[in-house]
Parts: sequence; C-alpha cells; structure tokens
Amino acid sequence: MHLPLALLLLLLHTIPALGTPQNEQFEEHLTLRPLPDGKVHAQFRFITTVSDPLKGVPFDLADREEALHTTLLPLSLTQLLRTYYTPELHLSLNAGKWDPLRWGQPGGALRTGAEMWAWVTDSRAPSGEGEGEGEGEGEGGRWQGLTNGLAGLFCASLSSQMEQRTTSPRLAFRPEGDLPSYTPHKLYHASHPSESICTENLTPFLKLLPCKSRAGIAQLLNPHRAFDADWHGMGVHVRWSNSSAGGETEVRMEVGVVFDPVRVSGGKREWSLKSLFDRTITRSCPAASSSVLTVQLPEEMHELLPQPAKMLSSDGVFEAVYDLGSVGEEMDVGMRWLEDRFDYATVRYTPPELIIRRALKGGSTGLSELSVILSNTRAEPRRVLYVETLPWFISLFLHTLQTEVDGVARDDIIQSISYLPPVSPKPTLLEITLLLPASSEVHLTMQAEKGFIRYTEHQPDASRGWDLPAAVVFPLPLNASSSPAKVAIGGGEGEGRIYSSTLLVDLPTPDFSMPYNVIIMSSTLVALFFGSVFNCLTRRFVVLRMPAEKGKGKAS
Amino acid sequence: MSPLSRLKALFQAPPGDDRHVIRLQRQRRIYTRVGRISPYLQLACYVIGILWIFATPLAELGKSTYVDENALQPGQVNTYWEWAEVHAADRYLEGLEALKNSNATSQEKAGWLKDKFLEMGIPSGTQEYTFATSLEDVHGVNTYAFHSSPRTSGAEAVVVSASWTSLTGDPNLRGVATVLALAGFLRRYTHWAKDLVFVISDGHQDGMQAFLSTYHGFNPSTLSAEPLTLDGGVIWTALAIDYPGHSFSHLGLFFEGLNGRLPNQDLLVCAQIIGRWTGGVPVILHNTVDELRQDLPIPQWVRWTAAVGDWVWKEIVNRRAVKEWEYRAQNMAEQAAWMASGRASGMHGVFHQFRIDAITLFARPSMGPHGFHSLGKLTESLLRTMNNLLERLHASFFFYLLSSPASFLKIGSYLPCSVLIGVGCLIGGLRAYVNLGWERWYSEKLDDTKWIKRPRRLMEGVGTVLSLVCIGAGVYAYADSRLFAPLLAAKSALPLLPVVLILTLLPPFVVLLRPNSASPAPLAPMVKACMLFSLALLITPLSVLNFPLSLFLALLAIPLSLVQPSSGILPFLALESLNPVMLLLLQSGRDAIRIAVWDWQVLGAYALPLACVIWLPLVWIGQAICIIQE
Repeated sequence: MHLPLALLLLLLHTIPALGTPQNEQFEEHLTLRPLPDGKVHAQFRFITTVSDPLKGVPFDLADREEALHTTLLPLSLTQLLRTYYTPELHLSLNAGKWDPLRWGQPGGALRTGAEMWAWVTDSRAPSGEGEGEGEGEGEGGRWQGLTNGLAGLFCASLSSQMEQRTTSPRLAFRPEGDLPSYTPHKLYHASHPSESICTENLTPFLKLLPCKSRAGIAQLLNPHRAFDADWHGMGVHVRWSNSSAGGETEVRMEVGVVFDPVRVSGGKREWSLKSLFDRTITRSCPAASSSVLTVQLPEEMHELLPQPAKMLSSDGVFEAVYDLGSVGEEMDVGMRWLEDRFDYATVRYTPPELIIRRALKGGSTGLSELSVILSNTRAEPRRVLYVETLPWFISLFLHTLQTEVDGVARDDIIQSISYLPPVSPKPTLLEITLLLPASSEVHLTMQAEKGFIRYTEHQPDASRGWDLPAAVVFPLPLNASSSPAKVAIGGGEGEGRIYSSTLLVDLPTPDFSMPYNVIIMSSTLVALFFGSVFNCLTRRFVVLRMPAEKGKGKAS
Repeated sequence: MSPLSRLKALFQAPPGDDRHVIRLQRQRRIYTRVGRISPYLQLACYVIGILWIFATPLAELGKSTYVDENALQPGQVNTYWEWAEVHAADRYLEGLEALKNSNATSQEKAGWLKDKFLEMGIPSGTQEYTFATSLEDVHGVNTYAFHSSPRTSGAEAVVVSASWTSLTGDPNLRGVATVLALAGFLRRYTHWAKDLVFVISDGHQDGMQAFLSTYHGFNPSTLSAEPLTLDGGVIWTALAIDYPGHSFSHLGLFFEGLNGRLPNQDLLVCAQIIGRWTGGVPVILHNTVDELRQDLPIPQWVRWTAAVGDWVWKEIVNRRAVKEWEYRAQNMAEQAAWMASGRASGMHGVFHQFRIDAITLFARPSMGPHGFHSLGKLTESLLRTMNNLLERLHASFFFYLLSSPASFLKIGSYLPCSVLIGVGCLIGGLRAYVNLGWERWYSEKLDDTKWIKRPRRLMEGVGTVLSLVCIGAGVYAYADSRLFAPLLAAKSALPLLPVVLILTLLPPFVVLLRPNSASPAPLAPMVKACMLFSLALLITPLSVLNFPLSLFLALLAIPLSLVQPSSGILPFLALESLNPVMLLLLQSGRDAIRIAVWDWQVLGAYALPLACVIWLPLVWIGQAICIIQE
C-alpha cells in the first residue's frame, strides 16, 4: 500500500521540475577557434549551477540524510560529491600533446593523460554519525572512495596505483571557488601520465548531460570524429562559491577537440560543423537556459557562413556569436578562406608568454639529469611556481640544483623551495617559487637517480619504461605577500597554468622470461655449495701415512 | 693394455691398503694423469675450436629466423603509399639534384630541407656541429623535424632518417628524397601511436652522432654542437634509408652497430618479411647477393689426376652444400668483420649506443626493377609494425650471427669456438705455472731424482706484461694526438720506416731493464704463463659481449701460445708479422688506421685503443718471451 503512495509523491515532486527549474540552471557553450596552423579548436562547455544547497553538494553536514532531488544535475555525480564531502573537484582526461606554440594557451588543464584533484573535507574533522559507505579507513579514505567512484562513473582506470600518484601540494592547486569555512579541507592531487586510462569513451560523459547527445551543441559530439582528431580532452570541474545564501555549486563539464581540416581535406583549411563533426545541430536543448555558439575570428580575410547575429570583441579578438536557443532548422556554421591550398610556410606563430621544456637526460642506469627550461617571453619579470611530482624511485638531489639565466648561473631567482622527499610508494613533491627575469630563458638542472625497483613492482609492460607526470607551472602575482602559502593562485578555470610534456624513463628492467633459468641456475649453485659445505662439516680429519710411489713424478 | 683396463687401473686400488690412503693415492694419480695429458687437452681445445669455426656456417647449426614479439605483426597492414607519393619523392629529388649540382654548402642544404619540412607543416630545425679530431675538423649541419602524432603523449618516438652520404660514399639523394616524401605522406594519418622524428644528417655517421648525443644530453669532448630547439620522446626504433643508385634490385640490411652492438633480431626479421612480402623486394644481408656461386671449371693442373680430380670437383668443390656453406660463411664473415673492428656498417650504427634498435635499409644500386614505390611502401609497413610496439623491442635475440637473411646462429651454437680456445690458453697457462713451481733435483747420495719446490717469479712476469701494456698506452696517446696525423697522410712507406721499426722492435727489449734476480726459476715461461692467463681472461668474457672480437683474439692467441720461451731471434722476427704497426707500411693499412683514429675520435669506436692497449702489447709480450734468456 505504501508503494503507490510513494510513487505518487515522487511524481508530484518531479512535476514542477519539468517546467522551469527553480534552483538549477544549465548553460551550454561551444567555442570554435581557428588556429594559425590550419587546425580548429572546438571547446564544449556545459555548466550547471545549483543554488539550493539541499539539491547540490553537501555543505551542511547535518542535512546529509536529506533526499537528493535534482533535475539537471546528474545524480550519479552529486551523490559522489555528497558522500565524500567534496566541495571542489577537477577531473580531466586528455589525449595528445597540447602544442602551446601553435595552439596558444587557453584556460583549462591541458595535461596529457588524466589529472584529478579535489579539496576534500578533512576526514579528521568531526563529522556526522558514521562514515559514508565505500569510505576507507584513515587518511585519504575519502579521496580513495572518490577516485573509485569517478573511475566507475567515467569508465577510466583512475584508481590504479593511487597511492603511488597522490600528492598534497602545499602551494599549488588552490581552490578555484570557495571552501566552506566551518570544516578544514585537504587537497589531494593525482595524475596518470600514461594513456592506459580509457579516454576514448564519450558515453559516460554524455550520460551526465540533461539532453544527452540528442539536442543542443552536444549533438555535435560524434565519437568517430572526436577521436580521430589531433587532440581531445574531457573534463569535469565542480566548485562551490559562497555567493548566494546557502552557497552555490557549479558543475562545469568540458570537451575540447583540436581538428585538422587540412589533413582531412588534403590541403584546404576551410571547415564547417558538418565537415568537422559529420553532424549539424538540428534542435536546441530545452533544458538549457542559454545555448551559444561562438566563433573566434582570425585576423586574415575569411568568410563566415551563415552571417552571425551578433559580433563581440574581447581582448582584441572578434567573436561571432550564434544563439542556439531556438534552432528551427538545421544549423551549420562554416568558415572559408580565399585560397586553394593552405600554406604552412607563411604562418607566423606568436610564442606563448610562458614556455616550459623538460627532459631527463642520461642513460638507463646511473645518474641522470633533470633539465627544465622556463622561458618568459614577456618584457617584464614574472613570478612562477614550478611543481614537480615524480614517482618515488626517482630521487632528486636538491644540492645539485643549479639555475642559469640565459647561460649565466644565478641563485637569487629562487624564492622558496618546498620539498617532500619520496618514501616508497609515495611520490616526491617539489615546489619551487621562481622569479623569471624579463624576456629570459631560465635553466634549472638537477641530478636525479633512478632507483632499482623490485621485480614485483614493475608494471606488466616492464620494457616500456615508466611515464613521469608533467611538471606544472603556475604564474603568480609579482608582488605577493611574503608568505607564499597565502597567495591565492589558480583563480578561475586554471588560468595561466601550464604543463610540460610527460616523460618516459627507462629503469633497469630484468628479463622477465628469465626467472625460470635463474631458479635453475641458483638451485644448482646452492646444491654445489651445500655439497662441499656438508662434506667439510661431516668429514673427520686424520693424519694418513702415504707409502711412496715409485717412479711417479709430481708434475708431468 | 686396452684403454678400458687402463681407465680401470686408474680408479682401482692396489689391494691391501687403508681405503683412505687408497683414495688419496687415486686422487693423486688422477691429478698426475691430467697434468700429463694437459698438452693434448690444450691441443684438442684449439683443434675443436678451429673446427667449430668452420662448422658455424653449416645449415645444421643454424636456425630459421622468426618474429618473437607478437605485437609486431609484420606485413599485416594495408599500405597507402602510392604513385602520388612517388611523384612527390621525384619532385624532392629534382630539388636535391639542383642543390648537388650547384655545390650547395651544408648550411644551404639544411636550410632547404628545413623549408620543405615547414611547408609540410612539421616543426623543423637545423643543428650545426663540429667534431675536433686530430686529423681534421668534421663540420656539418643536420636537419630534423618532429611530427607529433595525434592523440599521443609524445613520450615515445620512431626515427626515420637518411644521411647525406650513403654507406657507399655516394650522395644519398634518393634516400633523402624518400624521407621527405615519407614525412609529407605519413603525417596525413592518425594511426601513429608514436611521434615521428625525421632526421637528415650531414656526412655519413658523424651527423647522426652529433644529433643523438645532443638529443640524449651527452657531450663528447670532441663535439661542439648547437642545442636542439625541439623536444622529443624516448626513441625506441630507428630506420636509416640509404638509396644511392637510381634504381635498386635488392634490399640490403645493414645492422652492425658501433663496438659490436646489434639491434634486436625482431627488427631485422620484420624488415626481411615486410621487404619480401609487402615490398616485393628480395632481401639480402649487406651487399651480398643471395646467389650461390657458379660452378668452378676444373683447372689445368688437376687434369692429370683424371677421374679423381673430376670426382673431387664434381662432388666436393661444386657441390651445392659447399656453395651454400660458402654463401653463409661470406655473410657471417662480413658481420664478424664489422663487429670485431667495432665499426658501424651504416649510419644506423650510432643509434645502438643509446639503446635504440636501428637498421639501415640499403637499396642496392642496380638498373632495376625497384624504386621509390617499393621502398616507400615497405618503409611505411615497417613503421606501422614498429608503431604496434607497446614496449621496447626486448623479446627476441640481441646476440646472434646471421648466416642468411632468414637464418641465424644462436649464441650457444657459435660461442664454443672462442671459449674453447680461451680454455686451451688457460690450460696451457696453468700447466706452465705449475711446472714453474717445481724443480727436479738429483741427489748423488741416493742416486735418485726428487721434486723440490722453488719460488716462482710471478711479480716479474706480471711486471713484464704490465710494462708492455703501459708502452701500448703510450702508443695510444701518440696515435690519438695531432703528432700522428701527418704520418697517416704520407704517400709512401719510407718516411714511416723509423716509426715502424721503433714500435715493432724496441719495446720487447724493455725486459732487459729488469732488476737482477738470484732466483733459480726461469722468467720466460713465467711471462708466457702470464700472457696465456691474460689471453684466457680476455677471450672468455669477451665472447659473450662481442663474439667476433673474442674470436679475433683467440686466433691471435694460437700463434702466441706456440711461442717457445727463450727461442731466440728468429721467432722474434716472425712475430713481427702479427704486429698491427706493420699496417703503416701499406697504403690500405694506413687508410685503415686513419679510419680507426677517425672512428674513435668522432664516434667512439674502440678499434684504436684496443689495438694499442691489447693487440700491440700481446705481440710484444710474445716477442719478449723469445728474447728473455732466463
């Protein structure tokens, strides 16, 4: 008898949500950016904002038992955040090497592989009755649970080797939003440099969107095209802000793709939604309060079809804006140039303001050298925070740290160093605050030693080597207070943060086909050794009188 | 007595004694017997070792090659290289020929190549380098281009390269054109899992040595090179394309690297399978065509033996198995020669020192029938195979001798030849050492001989060896310096005669400087024992590292171990013929030494120091044994 009643109540409760959601708002935005080398960067952004704390992320711990009712925000995600008390979460799964020289440095994390960081309510803080389900014991249990949950949600093996990858940087990765003030929070950060994670799967991502891929700009997300591109990335960013009464949670889901129309068309760089995605937008997503397509216009002569309804200019870049709120018929946007072939040779690239190059030099055994080049192309000095996370078997020798500016050794540019030495299996964490002089190239070199790891610690593909995660560089305000810990860095959408490329490092690797031979060999040696030792131990030593042998020499 | 009953007598005890005494007596008898037969054992080791060398080319000892790494799947892809790409290669070739005809400098050539890469949209750069050697300054400009493959992290890379100079010494224009056309073609596909690095290196091997040293952060003292402006990942495999002719008939595989390093055999096997089945090109080793020799006609001087001669010629000399043996022996001898001399057979050879598996695909110049079409197709397919790798090549063999493109010898089948000779040296040395410790003493009172112990002159023996090695090191310092360079440029042997005479005759006489000793034991056998020990210690461990080099030392060891102590001036002079300094008297020898000096200072190939510090002193020690009159 209770069941029909409950169903009826549920129905009644959801009816108003089908209309205009009161506390939830969904916006979608697609930016298309033609790049100087003929490629096109498409950035999808789906933002859901919840202003009612009861429906959003669990800020008031007393209300944990309150039922979750959301219309637009995916329940699977909010439930995770509530269970593990996470007001801020960032997850990005990227494939490919972002080329900052040719593609610029837009906001957002552009790390190769997977990166995840979250501010989790410190588990030592007093919490409600009992721990949430799936939560492990001790420190980092919530982080562990959160990782496992997200790994399941996005079908990615995020949780593998979590302990070897998790760090808690002291200076980097400050929250982009606000943190609830009544409990302490702790930062956890992990990155998976290699691509064993399953990044070529859009379905779990699309499932989190209110219109799935049936309407709105999400219609364009065609996996056959997105995963044939030069670069693609997915991201989920959750942040909480203290703005409205009970706080406001924003869930931003992003997909970025870099297409190469020149490669596909065989020489021409003209593109349209149809040619890039093999799809067009046929209807708008009714759940979206705003649905906008923006095309950043290049400086050269070009032709944009259809004519945009609105033109905007931000930072000297002109943007054509199309409103997709009411798409009547098929919507396709395209751009053409007055040229037969795209000529790469005429392209001039503007180098980004901050460049990092990193290499680990040396043979597969013995000492190697970690060499980092930071270039500041601005005509003014910059303060940056350089963060290096290395697996425990790579030990950095800090006393060999040398800094050179344009080939001249200078020690004064290092402002602070924070170093967490590696304790197996936890990684090394090195955070250095540097002052880069104007228009300069700073070389940082450090000697590093590659450890000899146990054979059970090798990965299944042992002869591949180990991937080292990318180093991160955060620009800092130039005249910050003396205490670097208090500096708010990061800001909105990972502004200015840049990543180096990942590295592959060879460790001394045993021949894994050999254990059988080794067992036979060592057994033989042990048997021989045992034989003679046993002989000596059990033998009685007596003096024997030898009769002389006639006519026999001692030597030949 | 029959051998069996003799053997029995050895183990059986004379009746009536204590069994412990019997056991000790038996032990002593066996030791005596072993001591007595040790010369025959040593001889047997030498003879079996030498026979084994001749047996290695036999088909029965060989094994067919096979792909060990399952991920490789050679030849299992559809290739897209077509005539449009051949046309592109032809266009590049026109440009390259124009450059060559206008005698363009390295700088101009590299600039032209860089522009071509940039036109394709591949980031590119040039690198100027100079090797300061004692002979001359080697200068050049490399061009490189790094294509980041879509959706890859850029941590792994494959190199496709060509040097301006072919291994034949001709300009490698078509090789360079192939790499350019491949660069434009390969970047159109998204299936690459590794970055593609295209390198056009200047010179033959020096350019690539400069590029790779800089890439890996090594700075040889002789090299000054510009830093690279682009970053790449870890290079796993590399292909060098060498196409000096205008067409080619066979694809020759060159694989021997510097200092006897070899690439993983899987790479060679894949190249062989893909060349044969995807490219449709017959694959050969080096430049040796896989044809058996023609029947030899019976020479005039055998005619008189009539039927016997006919039979010998028909059944032995012109037998198919013998011809096959010769073909295999030729292939193995060439591989052994490259490895023993420590030289790289092509530009690929400089990769191996950085743990990169690399081979040269050599298009054997001919009137036809193959050209860019087959070469591009098989290179594409080979790159696809390398692209499949999830790990470094590690499954197959790193130690092997290839007897034909499709058959090889495992380490276990060829190792015994040099190890046996090394063991022979050890036996000889031990015997000499034991003998030196005892002296037969005649007692008049008892009218009997007796063995008494005497002290050995071990330190003097070791001292002789060490002092001659030190002189060898001095010779190395001289050969490595600028003082030696003019000698190599000499046109005739006459001005070199004093140097040759000093270096071949004088050093052994250093033993005359030894302090007087009152010891009754002779010195010459002690020096010989020390020489044999050092030979055994060199040959046996070297055989697993660089087998041909250890075989070379083993072959040197045989005449040296025949030297009789204090045998006088005639054997002394005969040993002159083994002295590497004698090479200076011949024009070809001077060229070889010049190459060794160049290879050592530019590439780090160890032929020069080895010849000075090991080969030369060994001959001197042999000569010293002849002239020591104690």
